[in-house]
Amino acid sequence: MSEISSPTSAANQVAGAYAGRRAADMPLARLVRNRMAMLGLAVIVVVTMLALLAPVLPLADPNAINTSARLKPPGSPDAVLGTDQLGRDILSRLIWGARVSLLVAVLAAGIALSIGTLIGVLAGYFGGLIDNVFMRLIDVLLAFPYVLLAIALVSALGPGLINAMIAIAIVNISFYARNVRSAVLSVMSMEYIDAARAAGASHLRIIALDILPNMIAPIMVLVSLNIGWMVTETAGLSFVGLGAQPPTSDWGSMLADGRRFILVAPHAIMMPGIAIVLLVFAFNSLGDGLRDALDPRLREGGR
Amino acid sequence: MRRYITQRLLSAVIVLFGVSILVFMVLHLTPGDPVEIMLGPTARPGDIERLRAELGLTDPLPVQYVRWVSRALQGDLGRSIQLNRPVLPELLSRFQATLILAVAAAIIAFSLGLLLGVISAVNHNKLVDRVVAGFAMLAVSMPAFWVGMIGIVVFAVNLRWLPASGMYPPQGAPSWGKLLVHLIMPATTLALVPMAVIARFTRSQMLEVLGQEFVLTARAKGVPRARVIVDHAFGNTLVALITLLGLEAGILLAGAVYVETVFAWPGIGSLMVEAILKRDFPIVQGGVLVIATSYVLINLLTDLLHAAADPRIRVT
Amino acid sequence: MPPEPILRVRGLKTQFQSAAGVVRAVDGVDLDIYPGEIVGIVGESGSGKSALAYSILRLTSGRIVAGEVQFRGQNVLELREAEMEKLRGDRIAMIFQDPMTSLNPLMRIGTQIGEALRYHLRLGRRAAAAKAAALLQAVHLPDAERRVHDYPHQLSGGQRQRVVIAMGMSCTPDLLIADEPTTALDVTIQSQILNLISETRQRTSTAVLLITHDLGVVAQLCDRVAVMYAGQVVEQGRTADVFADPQHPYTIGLLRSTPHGRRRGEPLRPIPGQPPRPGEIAAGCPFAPRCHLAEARCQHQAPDLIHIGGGRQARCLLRTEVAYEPAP
Ligand SMILES: Nc1ncnc2c1ncn2[C@@H]1O[C@H](COP(=O)(O)OP(=O)(O)OP(=O)(O)O)[C@@H](O)[C@H]1O
Ligand code: SF4
Ligand SMILES: [Mg+2]
Repeated sequence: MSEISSPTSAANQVAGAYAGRRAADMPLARLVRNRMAMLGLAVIVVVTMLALLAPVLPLADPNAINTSARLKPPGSPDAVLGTDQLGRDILSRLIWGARVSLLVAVLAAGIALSIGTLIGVLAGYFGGLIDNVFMRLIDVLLAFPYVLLAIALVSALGPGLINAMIAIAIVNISFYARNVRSAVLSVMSMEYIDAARAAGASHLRIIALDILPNMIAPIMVLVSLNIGWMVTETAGLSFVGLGAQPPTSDWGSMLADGRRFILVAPHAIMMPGIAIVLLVFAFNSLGDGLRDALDPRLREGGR
Repeated sequence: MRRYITQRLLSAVIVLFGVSILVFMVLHLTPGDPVEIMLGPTARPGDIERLRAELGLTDPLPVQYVRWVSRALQGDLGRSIQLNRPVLPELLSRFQATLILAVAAAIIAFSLGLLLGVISAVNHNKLVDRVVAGFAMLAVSMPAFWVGMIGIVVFAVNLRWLPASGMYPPQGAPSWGKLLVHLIMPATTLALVPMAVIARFTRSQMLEVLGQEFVLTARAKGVPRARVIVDHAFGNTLVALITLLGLEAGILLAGAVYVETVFAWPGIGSLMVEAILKRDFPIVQGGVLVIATSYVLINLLTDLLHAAADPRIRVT
Repeated sequence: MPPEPILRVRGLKTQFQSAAGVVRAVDGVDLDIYPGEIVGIVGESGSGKSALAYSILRLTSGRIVAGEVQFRGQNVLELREAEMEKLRGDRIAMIFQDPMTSLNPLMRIGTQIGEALRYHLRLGRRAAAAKAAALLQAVHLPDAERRVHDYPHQLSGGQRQRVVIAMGMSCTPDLLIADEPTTALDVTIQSQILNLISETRQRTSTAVLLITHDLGVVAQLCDRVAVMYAGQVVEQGRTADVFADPQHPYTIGLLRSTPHGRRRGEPLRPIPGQPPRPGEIAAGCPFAPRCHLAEARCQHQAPDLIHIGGGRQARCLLRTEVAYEPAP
């Protein structure tokens, strides 16, 4: 098999692009120097750790109803962030809710990413009819304002967290497919792909060894830019009642619960809202930082 | 130009065709029998059969599709199960409310977004630029439904400056002034994300244009810096901004779903959420179709507007 | 009595702040331009030619840290920005390399030519448009009256560069700075544009500062030439003298490396090595690492630009200074 299509050749290409630059210009160094991105990363790590450790943390039972302690304000001795309309501990519900919100967002991103990358790679690599058909299908998906498509899908599948996740995943296939396709096209124009083809490497081999390794950087940027949006969107669907159904609850459904009591207990919507903003802000700053460090060509407007 | 227009029209028609198939399939994707779901567990078998025949669900799919489309083209989108009224008039009156909200939000978003973007670009890397960037990042990270609720707590409940919900007060005759007062909070809430997107886009576009050689050429001609920004950079930025119209419309229509729910705005978004929860499929189907169609039309208009504004497209 | 130079640059230094440190793009340049002459500037890519040109007009994005730029006896570095704007496009004009990008795609070319006329000559819209058409005629753009209504994309590259020249000449400046005005064009178009520049110069007696990579162009067009290396002028003199008898080792190398400079029958010999990277310039002669004549003292003693007779200057320790004598 030709030497040119070996996996290291792609790595060399990337390394080659940075050869002669100083270490300070390398993507990782640029990312680390970006204070906002690092702050975002820290928030994400902390929230993820809290979510993972929820079962072993000394938290009140998130579902323990205590009608004598309803809507207690933050700072109460036994409920740091207060309680909700059923007397449940908000801090505990936030942390348990983070598990749901994060899991749904990560799974939805995973699904959208896998299918979108598959479509993007096939369309970009083979071009021609395959490209045309896929891109027309993507055009149809894009003909819907994105939440609307999610709503249409939830209406078909029925309200519920899993269905909301599936809907959000499907909506975002087009985002990944289009961006991956254009990344593939730019890789395809490099000489070593032609060389690999001329050397008789199979399509599968070229895709696996030359194309996909070059997709890692753009995909990392896409995911980090996209996942914050998925957190908001899951919360949104839960908020209007199309996502998490009781007894499951995420940050969106906590907001929906608190909404009925905003007159008497605004903290019930403050806490989950701040949690969402914090996490989404963290993902967005990390995504921006990654984009600037890895792939400055991915610019605004990519949704 | 003529060829470009025909091309765009043709692709819009193809996309609309795809949209109609997708919307049609939504009903048939549903796990379980849609009629049984619609009528609920207490339905009698006779009713189920009758509704099924009435909806034509016993025919082959292509036949159903052709019938559905030809009816839709004549303005017949079926009857709402919940309201027992024709779907289309209901949808259109709700859509009108959404349009009022979206247009108001668009005006806010574009005027403020442009302003912030230009200020940022002109003060590239200075403090103002950083502050605007931070604000934009924060704005896109805040869910509209949460911002809306905070707004209600602050401006309606505590300060009592603005009404908390609805399009008009419950009593009295509707008037423009009352509408305006009711619009302020929902429209501002809805405008937040698109405003941030426009500000960022304007900034990066403006910086790109300012870095181009023709800007330098203009400076070398002796055109004062402020005039270069107004006469050369801003025009090119605006033309590029037109391409963002479609995206913005999408953000606004989508965000309207949440903002309408929070502020009880009688728009098509809140109507659809209610309809899904009540399993009123004709409303959902019709609503999706109406919004998607108008979105496709907006995108078509965007492209035509861009072609009209940019001489490079105009002649070809 | 020799004429006063119209432009007198002394000790000009322009620096850029980059991630790799301070880039000394222009590092103490002395240059005189006399009324009506064409002065060529040559030098490898990155030697600071453009940075020098932009600095003269105060359009550089870098920082001018030292020196003087005297235009008709006045130091333009001391002018207020509003006064500078009055100078730009009126007394000193500049045209750029790429005619594809140096015109605003959304503005009719007549309007773009008219801009300078409106700002400097205070012409009204109508008068500016009429003058624009006349200017286009003067640069031999066919169908000029109709063309003023065209947008840039409707013109070919060569036609656009004619528009750019018409724009630069619109107020009949005393000095036209042209930064590689033909690099982006086809070979046949190149010579047409160069002819146009020299023809225009003859008609208006505008002095021209012509930046180019092409020594053939210099030989054909320029009265005098300045050779730049690492942000400095290393040799300067009348074109014929410099080409016949280069006095700086870099100029010798440059001439040998191009078909126009070497003697008939001699092979092309590129200069070995690379120009110094920004921030790498140590003590001594910046050219020393690549110089075939370098001596031990070159490593630590930096040469000055000295007069070497015949109105020529060179920046090399091997040359000996003579008393200043004006250019013959
Ligand atoms: N905006 C900038 N920021 C940082 N460094 C710059 C900038 N512009 C120019 N430089 C640096 O200044 C030096 C001189 O650049 P300049 O463009 O003047 O070269 P040049 O002689 O015109 O080259 P060319 O023949 O390629 O046009 C180079 O080292 C360049 O990297
Ligand atoms: S000073 Fe020395 S190194 Fe520099 S050009 Fe002259 S001989 Fe060469
Ligand atoms: Mg240059």
